[in-house]
Amino acid sequence: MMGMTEPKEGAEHALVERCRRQDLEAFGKLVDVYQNRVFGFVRRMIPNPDEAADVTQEVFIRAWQNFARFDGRSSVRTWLFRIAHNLCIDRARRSHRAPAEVGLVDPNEGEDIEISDVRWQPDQMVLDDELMTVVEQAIMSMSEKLRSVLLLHDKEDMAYEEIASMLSLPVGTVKSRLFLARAHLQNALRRYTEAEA
Amino acid sequence: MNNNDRLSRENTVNDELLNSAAQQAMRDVVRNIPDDSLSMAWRSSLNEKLLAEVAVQKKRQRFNWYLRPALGLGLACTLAVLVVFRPAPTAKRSQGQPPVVSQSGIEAALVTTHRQSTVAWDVAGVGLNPVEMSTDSDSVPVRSSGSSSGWSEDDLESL
Repeated sequence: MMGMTEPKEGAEHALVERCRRQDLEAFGKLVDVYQNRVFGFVRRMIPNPDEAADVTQEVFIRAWQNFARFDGRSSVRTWLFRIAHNLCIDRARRSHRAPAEVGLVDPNEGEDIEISDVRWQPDQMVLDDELMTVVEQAIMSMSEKLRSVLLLHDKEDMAYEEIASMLSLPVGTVKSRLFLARAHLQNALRRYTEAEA
Repeated sequence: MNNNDRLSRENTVNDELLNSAAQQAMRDVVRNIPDDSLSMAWRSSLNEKLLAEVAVQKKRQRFNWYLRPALGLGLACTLAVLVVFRPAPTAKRSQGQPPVVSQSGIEAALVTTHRQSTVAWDVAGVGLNPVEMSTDSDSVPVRSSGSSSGWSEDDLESL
Protein backbone atom coordinates (compact mmCIF):
# COMPACT_ATOMS: atom_id res chain seq x y z
CA MET A 1 0.00 0.00 0.00
CA MET A 2 2.95 2.23 0.51
CA GLY A 3 3.67 2.31 -3.16
CA MET A 4 0.22 3.51 -4.15
CA THR A 5 0.49 6.62 -6.27
CA GLU A 6 -2.14 9.22 -6.93
CA PRO A 7 -4.42 8.09 -9.76
CA LYS A 8 -4.48 10.05 -13.00
CA GLU A 9 -7.26 12.57 -13.43
CA GLY A 10 -9.43 10.36 -15.63
CA ALA A 11 -8.99 7.33 -13.43
CA GLU A 12 -9.72 9.36 -10.32
CA HIS A 13 -12.85 10.78 -11.93
CA ALA A 14 -14.07 7.25 -12.67
CA LEU A 15 -13.33 6.21 -9.09
CA VAL A 16 -15.18 9.23 -7.75
CA GLU A 17 -18.23 8.41 -9.89
CA ARG A 18 -18.25 4.87 -8.56
CA CYS A 19 -17.87 6.12 -4.99
CA ARG A 20 -20.83 8.42 -5.49
CA ARG A 21 -22.85 5.33 -6.36
CA GLN A 22 -21.76 3.84 -3.03
CA ASP A 23 -19.28 1.41 -4.55
CA LEU A 24 -17.26 0.24 -1.57
CA GLU A 25 -14.61 -1.41 -3.74
CA ALA A 26 -13.86 1.85 -5.54
CA PHE A 27 -13.75 3.67 -2.23
CA GLY A 28 -11.25 1.07 -0.98
CA LYS A 29 -8.97 2.01 -3.87
CA LEU A 30 -9.12 5.67 -2.88
CA VAL A 31 -8.32 4.70 0.69
CA ASP A 32 -5.31 2.72 -0.55
CA VAL A 33 -4.02 5.78 -2.37
CA TYR A 34 -4.51 8.38 0.35
CA GLN A 35 -4.47 6.62 3.72
CA ASN A 36 -0.77 7.06 4.46
CA ARG A 37 -0.65 10.64 3.32
CA VAL A 38 -3.70 11.57 5.34
CA PHE A 39 -2.29 9.74 8.33
CA GLY A 40 1.04 11.57 7.92
CA PHE A 41 -0.76 14.89 8.08
CA VAL A 42 -3.02 13.92 10.97
CA ARG A 43 -0.16 12.41 13.00
CA ARG A 44 1.69 15.71 12.88
CA MET A 45 -1.41 17.64 13.82
CA ILE A 46 -2.31 15.29 16.68
CA PRO A 47 0.65 14.14 18.76
CA ASN A 48 -0.85 10.87 20.01
CA PRO A 49 -0.34 8.22 17.26
CA ASP A 50 -3.30 6.05 18.36
CA GLU A 51 -5.57 9.07 18.37
CA ALA A 52 -4.17 10.07 14.97
CA ALA A 53 -4.99 6.61 13.58
CA ASP A 54 -8.54 6.90 14.90
CA VAL A 55 -8.95 10.34 13.38
CA THR A 56 -7.65 9.05 10.05
CA GLN A 57 -10.32 6.34 10.11
CA GLU A 58 -12.89 8.99 10.89
CA VAL A 59 -11.72 11.00 7.90
CA PHE A 60 -12.47 8.13 5.54
CA ILE A 61 -15.76 7.28 7.21
CA ARG A 62 -16.88 10.91 6.89
CA ALA A 63 -15.78 10.88 3.26
CA TRP A 64 -17.81 7.74 2.61
CA GLN A 65 -20.86 9.19 4.34
CA ASN A 66 -20.68 12.44 2.38
CA PHE A 67 -19.45 11.30 -1.01
CA ALA A 68 -22.81 12.11 -2.59
CA ARG A 69 -22.19 15.75 -1.61
CA PHE A 70 -18.69 15.89 -3.09
CA ASP A 71 -19.15 18.25 -6.02
CA GLY A 72 -15.81 17.62 -7.70
CA ARG A 73 -14.81 21.30 -7.76
CA SER A 74 -11.67 20.42 -5.85
CA SER A 75 -9.64 17.25 -6.11
CA VAL A 76 -10.35 14.27 -3.86
CA ARG A 77 -7.00 14.86 -2.20
CA THR A 78 -7.91 18.44 -1.27
CA TRP A 79 -11.32 17.33 -0.07
CA LEU A 80 -9.85 14.55 2.12
CA PHE A 81 -7.25 16.89 3.61
CA ARG A 82 -9.94 19.47 4.32
CA ILE A 83 -11.92 16.86 6.26
CA ALA A 84 -8.74 15.81 8.05
CA HIS A 85 -7.83 19.39 8.91
CA ASN A 86 -11.29 20.14 10.26
CA LEU A 87 -11.32 16.99 12.37
CA CYS A 88 -7.88 17.78 13.78
CA ILE A 89 -8.94 21.31 14.69
CA ASP A 90 -12.13 20.01 16.31
CA ARG A 91 -10.17 17.43 18.26
CA ALA A 92 -7.65 19.99 19.45
CA ARG A 93 -10.41 22.36 20.55
CA ARG A 94 -12.18 19.60 22.44
CA SER A 95 -9.11 18.39 24.26
CA HIS A 96 -8.06 21.98 25.10
CA ARG A 97 -4.49 21.03 24.63
CA ALA A 98 -2.23 24.03 24.99
CA PRO A 99 1.38 23.07 24.46
CA ALA A 100 4.07 25.71 24.30
CA GLU A 101 3.25 26.68 20.76
CA VAL A 102 5.03 29.15 18.58
CA GLY A 103 2.92 32.21 18.08
CA LEU A 104 1.70 33.19 14.67
CA VAL A 105 3.62 36.44 14.70
CA ASP A 106 7.16 36.31 15.97
CA PRO A 107 9.24 39.29 14.87
CA ASN A 108 12.54 37.45 15.30
CA GLU A 109 11.42 34.70 12.95
CA GLY A 110 10.78 37.12 10.17
CA GLU A 111 14.47 37.62 9.58
CA ASP A 112 16.02 35.91 6.65
CA ILE A 113 18.50 33.50 8.07
CA GLU A 114 21.14 32.24 5.70
CA ILE A 115 22.48 28.82 6.39
CA SER A 116 26.03 28.39 5.37
CA ASP A 117 26.23 24.79 6.44
CA VAL A 118 26.49 22.65 3.33
CA ARG A 119 24.52 19.90 4.98
CA TRP A 120 21.38 21.91 4.29
CA GLN A 121 21.85 21.72 0.58
CA PRO A 122 19.02 19.54 -0.71
CA ASP A 123 21.15 17.18 -2.69
CA GLN A 124 23.54 16.53 0.20
CA MET A 125 20.98 16.23 2.87
CA VAL A 126 20.68 13.00 4.69
CA LEU A 127 18.26 13.04 7.50
CA ASP A 128 19.25 10.60 10.15
CA ASP A 129 16.96 9.52 12.94
CA GLU A 130 18.18 12.10 15.40
CA LEU A 131 17.79 14.93 12.99
CA MET A 132 14.38 13.65 12.03
CA THR A 133 13.32 13.74 15.66
CA VAL A 134 14.44 17.37 15.86
CA VAL A 135 12.47 18.22 12.72
CA GLU A 136 9.37 16.43 14.03
CA GLN A 137 9.65 18.19 17.38
CA ALA A 138 10.07 21.55 15.70
CA ILE A 139 6.98 20.93 13.60
CA MET A 140 4.98 19.79 16.62
CA SER A 141 5.96 22.88 18.58
CA MET A 142 4.49 25.22 15.95
CA SER A 143 1.00 26.58 16.23
CA GLU A 144 -1.60 24.58 14.31
CA LYS A 145 -1.99 27.44 11.89
CA LEU A 146 1.66 27.39 10.86
CA ARG A 147 1.94 23.63 11.00
CA SER A 148 -0.99 22.91 8.73
CA VAL A 149 0.23 25.31 6.04
CA LEU A 150 3.78 23.94 6.20
CA LEU A 151 2.65 20.33 5.90
CA LEU A 152 0.14 20.99 3.16
CA HIS A 153 2.56 22.98 1.05
CA ASP A 154 5.94 21.42 1.66
CA LYS A 155 4.95 17.83 2.42
CA GLU A 156 1.82 17.44 0.32
CA ASP A 157 2.98 19.76 -2.43
CA MET A 158 -0.30 21.67 -2.57
CA ALA A 159 -0.45 25.01 -4.37
CA TYR A 160 -0.92 28.24 -2.40
CA GLU A 161 -4.33 28.76 -3.96
CA GLU A 162 -5.41 25.24 -3.10
CA ILE A 163 -4.42 25.71 0.53
CA ALA A 164 -6.02 29.15 0.64
CA SER A 165 -9.29 27.71 -0.64
CA MET A 166 -9.10 24.77 1.74
CA LEU A 167 -8.44 26.86 4.84
CA SER A 168 -10.57 29.81 3.71
CA LEU A 169 -7.62 32.20 3.88
CA PRO A 170 -6.17 34.81 1.54
CA VAL A 171 -3.19 33.56 -0.48
CA GLY A 172 -1.00 36.23 1.14
CA THR A 173 -1.77 34.85 4.59
CA VAL A 174 -0.88 31.34 3.44
CA LYS A 175 2.48 32.61 2.20
CA SER A 176 3.16 34.54 5.40
CA ARG A 177 2.36 31.50 7.52
CA LEU A 178 4.54 29.31 5.38
CA PHE A 179 7.42 31.75 5.71
CA LEU A 180 7.07 31.86 9.50
CA ALA A 181 6.80 28.08 9.74
CA ARG A 182 9.96 27.53 7.72
CA ALA A 183 11.78 30.20 9.72
CA HIS A 184 10.78 28.44 12.93
CA LEU A 185 12.03 25.13 11.60
CA GLN A 186 15.23 26.81 10.52
CA ASN A 187 15.80 28.18 14.02
CA ALA A 188 15.25 24.77 15.56
CA LEU A 189 17.71 23.14 13.21
CA ARG A 190 20.29 25.87 13.79
CA ARG A 191 20.03 25.37 17.53
CA TYR A 192 20.49 21.65 16.96
CA THR A 193 23.61 22.10 14.79
CA GLU A 194 25.09 24.60 17.23
CA ALA A 195 24.57 22.15 20.06
CA GLU A 196 26.13 19.39 18.00
CA ALA A 197 29.13 21.57 17.19
CA MET B 1 -1.12 53.09 -4.73
CA ASN B 2 -4.35 51.19 -5.01
CA ASN B 3 -5.23 48.02 -3.16
CA ASN B 4 -4.41 45.64 -6.01
CA ASP B 5 -0.95 47.12 -6.47
CA ARG B 6 -0.25 46.86 -2.78
CA LEU B 7 -1.42 43.23 -2.67
CA SER B 8 0.62 42.24 -5.71
CA ARG B 9 3.68 43.93 -4.22
CA GLU B 10 3.18 42.08 -0.93
CA ASN B 11 2.85 38.82 -2.83
CA THR B 12 6.04 39.52 -4.74
CA VAL B 13 7.85 40.22 -1.52
CA ASN B 14 6.45 37.04 -0.05
CA ASP B 15 7.49 35.07 -3.11
CA GLU B 16 11.00 36.48 -2.96
CA LEU B 17 11.29 35.57 0.71
CA LEU B 18 9.82 32.13 0.18
CA ASN B 19 12.17 31.41 -2.72
CA SER B 20 15.30 32.27 -0.75
CA ALA B 21 17.84 29.49 -0.32
CA ALA B 22 17.21 29.08 3.40
CA GLN B 23 13.47 28.79 2.91
CA GLN B 24 13.89 26.32 0.04
CA ALA B 25 16.24 24.26 2.18
CA MET B 26 13.56 23.99 4.84
CA ARG B 27 11.10 22.98 2.18
CA ASP B 28 13.36 20.11 1.21
CA VAL B 29 13.76 19.07 4.84
CA VAL B 30 9.99 18.80 5.20
CA ARG B 31 9.62 17.06 1.85
CA ASN B 32 12.19 14.45 2.87
CA ILE B 33 10.38 13.45 6.02
CA PRO B 34 9.68 9.75 5.48
CA ASP B 35 6.09 8.75 4.78
CA ASP B 36 4.07 7.16 7.49
CA SER B 37 2.39 3.85 7.02
CA LEU B 38 -0.61 2.33 8.64
CA SER B 39 -0.91 -1.28 9.71
CA MET B 40 -3.09 -3.94 8.11
CA ALA B 41 -4.98 -4.11 11.40
CA TRP B 42 -5.87 -0.45 10.99
CA ARG B 43 -7.13 -1.10 7.47
CA SER B 44 -9.08 -4.14 8.58
CA SER B 45 -10.70 -2.10 11.33
CA LEU B 46 -11.59 0.63 8.82
CA ASN B 47 -13.14 -1.94 6.49
CA GLU B 48 -15.28 -3.25 9.33
CA LYS B 49 -16.44 0.26 10.17
CA LEU B 50 -17.22 0.98 6.53
CA LEU B 51 -19.21 -2.24 6.21
CA ALA B 52 -21.15 -1.32 9.35
CA GLU B 53 -21.80 2.11 7.82
CA VAL B 54 -23.02 0.49 4.59
CA ALA B 55 -25.42 -1.67 6.61
CA VAL B 56 -26.74 1.40 8.44
CA GLN B 57 -27.20 3.25 5.14
CA LYS B 58 -29.09 0.32 3.62
CA LYS B 59 -31.29 0.09 6.68
CA ARG B 60 -31.98 3.80 6.46
CA GLN B 61 -32.81 3.51 2.78
CA ARG B 62 -35.18 0.62 3.43
CA PHE B 63 -36.81 2.53 6.25
CA ASN B 64 -37.26 5.52 3.95
CA TRP B 65 -38.66 3.24 1.25
CA TYR B 66 -41.47 2.22 3.64
CA LEU B 67 -41.73 5.47 5.51
CA ARG B 68 -42.33 7.73 2.52
CA PRO B 69 -45.46 5.95 1.21
CA ALA B 70 -46.72 5.60 4.78
CA LEU B 71 -46.28 9.32 5.32
CA GLY B 72 -48.07 10.08 2.05
CA LEU B 73 -50.93 7.79 2.96
CA GLY B 74 -51.23 9.32 6.39
CA LEU B 75 -51.34 12.80 4.93
CA ALA B 76 -53.99 11.79 2.42
CA CYS B 77 -56.11 10.21 5.18
CA THR B 78 -55.83 13.31 7.32
CA LEU B 79 -56.96 15.51 4.45
CA ALA B 80 -59.85 13.16 3.69
CA VAL B 81 -61.01 13.22 7.31
CA LEU B 82 -60.79 16.99 7.38
CA VAL B 83 -62.82 17.33 4.21
CA VAL B 84 -65.51 14.80 5.19
CA PHE B 85 -66.00 15.93 8.76
CA ARG B 86 -65.66 19.60 8.09
CA PRO B 87 -68.26 21.56 10.12
CA ALA B 88 -71.02 23.22 8.07
CA PRO B 89 -70.35 26.90 7.43
CA THR B 90 -72.48 29.09 9.69
CA ALA B 91 -73.34 32.69 9.00
CA LYS B 92 -72.16 35.03 11.69
CA ARG B 93 -74.97 36.84 13.42
CA SER B 94 -75.51 38.59 16.65
CA GLN B 95 -77.69 36.99 19.31
CA GLY B 96 -81.44 37.45 18.99
CA GLN B 97 -81.33 38.51 15.38
CA PRO B 98 -82.72 36.35 12.60
CA PRO B 99 -80.29 34.90 10.10
CA VAL B 100 -79.49 37.06 7.14
CA VAL B 101 -81.35 35.82 4.12
CA SER B 102 -81.24 37.14 0.64
CA GLN B 103 -84.25 39.18 -0.23
CA SER B 104 -84.78 37.95 -3.72
CA GLY B 105 -86.39 34.88 -5.16
CA ILE B 106 -88.54 32.11 -3.98
CA GLU B 107 -86.21 31.29 -1.11
CA ALA B 108 -86.93 34.62 0.56
CA ALA B 109 -90.67 34.13 0.13
CA LEU B 110 -90.50 30.65 1.66
CA VAL B 111 -88.52 31.88 4.63
CA THR B 112 -90.94 34.76 5.23
CA THR B 113 -93.92 32.42 5.12
CA HIS B 114 -92.20 30.04 7.50
CA ARG B 115 -91.44 32.82 9.95
CA GLN B 116 -95.00 34.10 9.90
CA SER B 117 -96.46 30.65 10.43
CA THR B 118 -94.08 30.07 13.32
CA VAL B 119 -95.18 33.31 14.95
CA ALA B 120 -98.85 32.43 14.33
CA TRP B 121 -98.33 29.03 15.94
CA ASP B 122 -96.77 30.67 18.97
CA VAL B 123 -99.62 33.18 19.35
CA ALA B 124 -102.74 31.28 18.45
CA GLY B 125 -102.00 27.64 17.97
CA VAL B 126 -103.05 25.48 15.04
CA GLY B 127 -105.58 26.76 12.55
CA LEU B 128 -104.86 30.45 12.35
CA ASN B 129 -103.16 31.36 9.19
CA PRO B 130 -100.80 34.27 8.79
CA VAL B 131 -103.37 36.34 6.90
CA GLU B 132 -105.90 36.00 9.70
CA MET B 133 -103.31 36.85 12.25
CA SER B 134 -102.17 39.95 10.52
CA THR B 135 -105.77 41.28 10.04
CA ASP B 136 -106.43 44.22 12.26
CA SER B 137 -110.10 43.51 12.98
CA ASP B 138 -111.41 43.99 16.50
CA SER B 139 -112.58 40.76 17.93
CA VAL B 140 -115.94 41.01 19.65
CA PRO B 141 -117.01 38.26 22.05
CA VAL B 142 -120.29 36.50 21.18
CA ARG B 143 -123.12 37.60 23.35
CA SER B 144 -124.93 34.93 25.24
CA SER B 145 -128.28 36.68 25.13
CA GLY B 146 -130.39 36.13 22.08
CA SER B 147 -129.62 35.08 18.57
CA SER B 148 -130.85 35.85 15.13
CA SER B 149 -132.64 32.51 14.86
CA GLY B 150 -134.55 32.99 18.16
CA TRP B 151 -133.19 29.85 19.79
CA SER B 152 -131.67 29.95 23.23
CA GLU B 153 -129.37 27.56 25.02
CA ASP B 154 -132.19 26.32 27.15
CA ASP B 155 -134.08 25.30 24.04
CA LEU B 156 -131.12 23.32 22.87
CA GLU B 157 -130.83 21.51 26.16
CA SER B 158 -134.48 20.51 26.09
CA LEU B 159 -134.00 18.78 22.77
